[in-house]
Parts: sequence; structure tokens; C-alpha cells
Amino acid sequence: MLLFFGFGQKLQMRQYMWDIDRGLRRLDVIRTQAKELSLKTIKEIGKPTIDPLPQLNVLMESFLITPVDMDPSGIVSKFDHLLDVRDVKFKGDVQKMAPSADSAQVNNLENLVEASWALNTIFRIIRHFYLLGKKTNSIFIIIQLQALLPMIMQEAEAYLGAGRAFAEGQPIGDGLGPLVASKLMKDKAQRKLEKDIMVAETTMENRRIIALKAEGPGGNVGKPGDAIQSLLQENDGKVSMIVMVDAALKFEGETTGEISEGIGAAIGGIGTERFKIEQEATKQHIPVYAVIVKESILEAITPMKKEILDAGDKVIERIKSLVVERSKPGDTVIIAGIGNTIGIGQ
Amino acid sequence: MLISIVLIIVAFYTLNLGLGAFNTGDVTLGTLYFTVAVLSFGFVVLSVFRVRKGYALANPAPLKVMSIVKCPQCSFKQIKNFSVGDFVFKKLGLCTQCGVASLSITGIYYDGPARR
Repeated sequence: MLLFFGFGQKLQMRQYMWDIDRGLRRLDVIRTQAKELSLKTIKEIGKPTIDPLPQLNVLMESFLITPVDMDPSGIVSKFDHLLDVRDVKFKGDVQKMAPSADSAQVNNLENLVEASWALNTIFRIIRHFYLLGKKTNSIFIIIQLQALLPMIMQEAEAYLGAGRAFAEGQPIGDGLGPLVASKLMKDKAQRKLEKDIMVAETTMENRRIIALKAEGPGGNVGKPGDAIQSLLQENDGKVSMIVMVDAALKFEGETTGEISEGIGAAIGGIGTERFKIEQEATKQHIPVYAVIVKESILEAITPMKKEILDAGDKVIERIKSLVVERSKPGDTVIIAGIGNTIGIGQ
Repeated sequence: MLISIVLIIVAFYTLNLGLGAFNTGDVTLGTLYFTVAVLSFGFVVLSVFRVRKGYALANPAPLKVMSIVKCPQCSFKQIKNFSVGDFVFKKLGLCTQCGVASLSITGIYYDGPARR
């Protein structure tokens, strides 16, 4: 009893450290599996003449220095520029490692390498704080790490599942938006707009519909912000509403595939694309509506579940009633399918 | 690991002492030793389960992914295993039922046990 009074906190800290140590070992196994999968897929698809491992190791340790935010004016365009540069460099490096891969396969490989990079980064951060807590004997660092570990492990396992889907080019849960848009665009004349965005015109309940999604079936999210901005400028004053369809993270206890409607630009990421849509929509006083399908982080980045696939048709019905309620016959409506279009053509 | 080994030694030692105490008719002391032995064993068993759970990786088996093939001209529908190169709205050519070249993949989904 006296031992517990005297060393209770020490014993508790020791137990937390065991938990973190176990989690760290699992993370190491997961990141190694993801890296091996990346290497195997690059060799199979890309047929490189030289060993891609050194180049892959360089990519695994790559980083992005975010712009200075002391003077936030103009930071969105700075971020946008940096992300473009990073994207081009990453894609170029993957293309160099896999010279025989076509553009869709390069996109899939890029996504796969990014998933491996994310796992490597998670492992490095957790190891850093674990060793720091151990070195400084700080129970507060250890407690925080131990409390966050279950969520981090869930995310890491989701990334590993995503890696498997990217390696084979299977649609993922996040592809719900592009799936809905591609259903609207099917068999219609299509054109390429902005960076990797495909656009097609159709009709719905006597309204002119402009549907857009990232160019598939390679893993790609495109730049829907730029595309919507130029569509609004192209149809100056004629667009009466924008409907954005996306997958959204559900709260624990909510059902996968449940549909919700809301207001605002439904698009994830760092915020640059959302900024462009909000800016142009505000300028032209166009309402932006969001239709989302709920799913967990694991479901969003691993192969699409049947419930999410089935939600696609229900989303189209919801869009129809939204369009009928909120616009008049003859109006022009933009419907944007947001998300990663891997495994989904148009 | 070290704590578990120490606890196993403690458990066996107190179990032995407890049995000795019961034999001499000292029920109170015997019960005390027996309680310590049970607690020590319990702690070791729990620790072993925690370690096993900690190392088990979630679902390492490949996922079962299916492709839905449909013909819009007739009622033909087929659900087949996903193969590399399949994608939604990929045109597959002639329909075996009606002979029209309109067969395509209309959906791809994960068909497996429930996930979190």
C-alpha cells in the first residue's frame, strides 16, 4: 500500500509508456507494410530500370514549409502556389520512379506514396514525443500521447487500408461526390476545365445543370475551387445556385451513408479551394448548398462500402428536390462532386 | 515483463504459504495469502491479454471488393470480383444477353465485415 502511495504516479507513467511503446511498434509495422506496398506497386506498374528505393526514401522524408502568417493578407494564394509546386514535384518524382505508368496510374501511385508518407510522418511525430517524454520524465507529455493514441492508431490503419485501395485503383468512400457527378455526366459531352476537372452539361427538372468532378479514373481531387470560379465568371450572373456533394466525417453513433443537407462550400483540404468558391459566390450573391454523406475516417479512405455506393442515387434525388425548391425552370445550376475520384471514370 | 515474472514468483510463493496456513488451521492468514496469489495471477493474465491485443494488426487480410456489371439495354446484371483495371463506368463491350455493346461497370464496392 505504502509503495502505491509513494510510487503510484511513477507506476502509472510506466504503464502509459508501455502502451505508447506497443502503439509505436504497431505504427512501425504499419508504415513498413505501406512502404513495401508502395515499392512493390511501383516496380510492378512502373517497371523502373533503376532501383526506386533511394528516391522513395527521399520522398518519404519530404516536407512543406507553410507561408508566414504574421501578415495574413494574401496567404491563400501563397498556400495555393506552394501546394501546386508540391503537387507537380511529387507527381514528377513518382513519374520518374515509374516511367512505364500512364497518367491514371501515376495519379494512383502518387496517392499511394502520399499514404506511405503520411504513415511515416505519424510514426516520426509519435516517436519524437514518446522519446521526449521519456527523456524529460514528463508525465504530461506521456498522458497526452497515451490519450490520443487510439485515434492515431485508427487513422494509421485507415491510411494502410487506403494504400491497398490506391495500389489497385479501387474507389474509396471519399469518392462519393465524384460518383454522383459522374452519374449526372454520363454519356454527355464533356470538356476539361482548369487543373484535372471535367465538366458536362445536362438538364434536371427543366434547369440547365453544369456538373463537374475531378478527372478519373486515376486518384485525383483536382482543383474544384478554380473550376467553379471560372464557371461562374464564364456564366456571369446566370448561375442561380451551387450544390456541392461531398463525403463528410460522421460522429460516433451515426449511420454510414446517412445524407444531410446544409449551407456552405462542402470541401475539405487546407481551405484554399473553399476560399475561392466562397469569394466568387459572395461576389455574385449565389447561394451555396451542401449535400453530404456521412462516413468514418476509415470508411472515407478505404474501398467504398455498399451503403455509400447506394447513397449515390439517394443523393441525386435530394439534389433534384433541392433544385426544384430553390431555383426556377430555365435557371443554371452548378453541381460539384467533391472528393478523390480514384476508380471512378466519367 | 520483469514485473510479470516477479508477480508469478510472488503468486506461487504466497499460494504455498496460504496452503501451509490452511493446513495448520489458520484460516485468516491462509485467506490473506490466497488473495495475494489470486491478485498476482490476475494481474499477469491481464497484462498478457493487453500485450496480445496490442500487437494484433487490424484486418491484414485483403479486402473483398466487388464490381457490378450492368447492361442498360436489357436486365443483365452481374456481380464479379474486382480486378485491377476495373473502374466505375468502364465500358466492357458486348452484352452476352442482348448483344448490344453497352455493357459497363456501374459500381464498385467493398463487401466485407462491418468496420468501425
